[in-house]
Amino acid sequence: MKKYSKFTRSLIIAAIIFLILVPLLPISTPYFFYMLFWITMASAFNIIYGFVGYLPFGYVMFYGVGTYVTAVLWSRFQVPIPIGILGSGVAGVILSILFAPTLRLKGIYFAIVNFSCAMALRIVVANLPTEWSGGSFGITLSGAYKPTTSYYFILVLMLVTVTVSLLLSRSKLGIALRCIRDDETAAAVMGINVPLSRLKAWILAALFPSLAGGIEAWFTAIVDPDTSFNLMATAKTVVYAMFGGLGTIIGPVFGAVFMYGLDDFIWGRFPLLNSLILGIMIVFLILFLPRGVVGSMTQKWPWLRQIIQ
Amino acid sequence: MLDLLLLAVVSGVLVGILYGLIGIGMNILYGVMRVVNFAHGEFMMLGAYLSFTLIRYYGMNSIQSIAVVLPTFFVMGIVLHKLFYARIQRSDDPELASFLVFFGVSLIITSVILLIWKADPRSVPFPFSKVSLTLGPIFLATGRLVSAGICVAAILLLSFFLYRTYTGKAVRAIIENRDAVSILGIDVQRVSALVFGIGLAIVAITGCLVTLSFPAITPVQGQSYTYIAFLVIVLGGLGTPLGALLGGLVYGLAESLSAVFMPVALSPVVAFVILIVMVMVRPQGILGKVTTRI
Repeated sequence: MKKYSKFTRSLIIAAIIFLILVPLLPISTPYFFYMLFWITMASAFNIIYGFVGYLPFGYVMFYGVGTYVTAVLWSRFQVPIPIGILGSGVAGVILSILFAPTLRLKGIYFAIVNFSCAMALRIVVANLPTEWSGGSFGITLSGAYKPTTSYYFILVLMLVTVTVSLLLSRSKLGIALRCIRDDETAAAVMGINVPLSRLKAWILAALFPSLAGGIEAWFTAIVDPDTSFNLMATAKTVVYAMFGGLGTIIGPVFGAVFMYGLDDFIWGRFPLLNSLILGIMIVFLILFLPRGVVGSMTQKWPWLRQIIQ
Repeated sequence: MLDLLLLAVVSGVLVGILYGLIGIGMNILYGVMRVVNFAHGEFMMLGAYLSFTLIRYYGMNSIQSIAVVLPTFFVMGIVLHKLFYARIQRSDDPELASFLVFFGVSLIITSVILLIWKADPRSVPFPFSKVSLTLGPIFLATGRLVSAGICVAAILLLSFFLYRTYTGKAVRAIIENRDAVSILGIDVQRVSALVFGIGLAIVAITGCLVTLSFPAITPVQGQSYTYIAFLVIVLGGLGTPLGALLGGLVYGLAESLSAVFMPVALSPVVAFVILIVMVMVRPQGILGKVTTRI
């Protein structure tokens, strides 16, 4: 067991060193930026769906609000971008608290309502006064364009997200959340404060995508309602996280790295068939691999858990 | 102003009946199988495009095209049931799994429509010589009137099936309690397959009729009909087949009345606000009963 963990640790350190060097190497920075971005999204999504079992199908709204808060703060109030990104995080937390009553709903009701909240928010943002949100054309941030710095921001955010979910899964709260997922009533009987634990997970799951949204707005230097509240962003988050394996730490990371690579490859080769292939993959994934790659592997070979965790 | 209001109410009711039928198609699947058909609107668009092709190249009209599209969709439903149902039921959380599977299906259908019929909006030729009928101060759009009439006929037929036939009673029994039903010796698998077929057959009807109310179709429209279906069934009660008709009427009226009083761009928000409030206050729907599931 010792041997394995030493091996894993050196592998992780090597990966981080490589990621730090990416902007200096002659390889595509946007590719790695988005890879880190999707790892963040999938890992944060895992906190609420993997640990607690709530499927927020309007997950994109946190990301969307994040992009808009940073963009509006910068373009309207000349707030420096890094502070704007913090503002995005605050906005995401406020939004999650605002929608916290929906956590009383379960299963499919929660998914549908969350989805509707995201749709309503998109329409509201697109109809805000033009001098605020730029209407359906959005906002450009070309004056603040700094790809390398924003790359390091997303790298740090990704590391924080993964570390937080790792610590969370080992903490008392993480155990409480899994209990709620498996049997809410039993968890409450055992003395777990169900609403409060659920709320904590929900806020964490909202915080990271909002921050990621702020950083992504900085990286692309453009924000518009169609991209910011695109249902496909939720879909990709769900698929990436599920492919790797929900409820594990390495699962969403592996899923995001592998599937983003595949997605990028498909986009490059068959731009027309992209969503067809994504659709087919989703169907197969849910039908044949509902626990994801990592989940299925640990189910088959339990000793793998030692390396993975 | 009064005329305008009256007009809004009439057109709200006519479109509401169509929305009701859209909801019924989704609701019957959910009620019997706990399958959340996220691809409902996309199936509908597929139906609308098939109907478009039949009208354009085979000289049919919207109503005749139902005769071809409906059996096709019925068979497709049974095939889909064979492919997906058993595996979805075996997963940890069948409802959410079906939701995600059908999300995948919706992506597949949209891309297939895009590949076959391309992205340009298509307009379906209007089959009637008179565009509207005048009744005092009210204009009635002929297309909507006819489509509402066919929807009512379909709903009556479905109600007859559900409440007067043996198989229909089995369907309702499964909605009430599927475990008890299998103990009583009803073949749940066969009834489910039939219901899947019927559900998609209803989708086929709405797909053919929707062009009578909204003649232009584009491949990406499906999603908005899926929201409408969700909204309608949540209003009427998830799993209460005919409650969806009431939900459809409420939504149709809310939509056309809000268009009178608010900027058009914001009128979809009304729908979402109704949905959110409804789910928070009365998740079982207007007609739904509270049931405890173990």
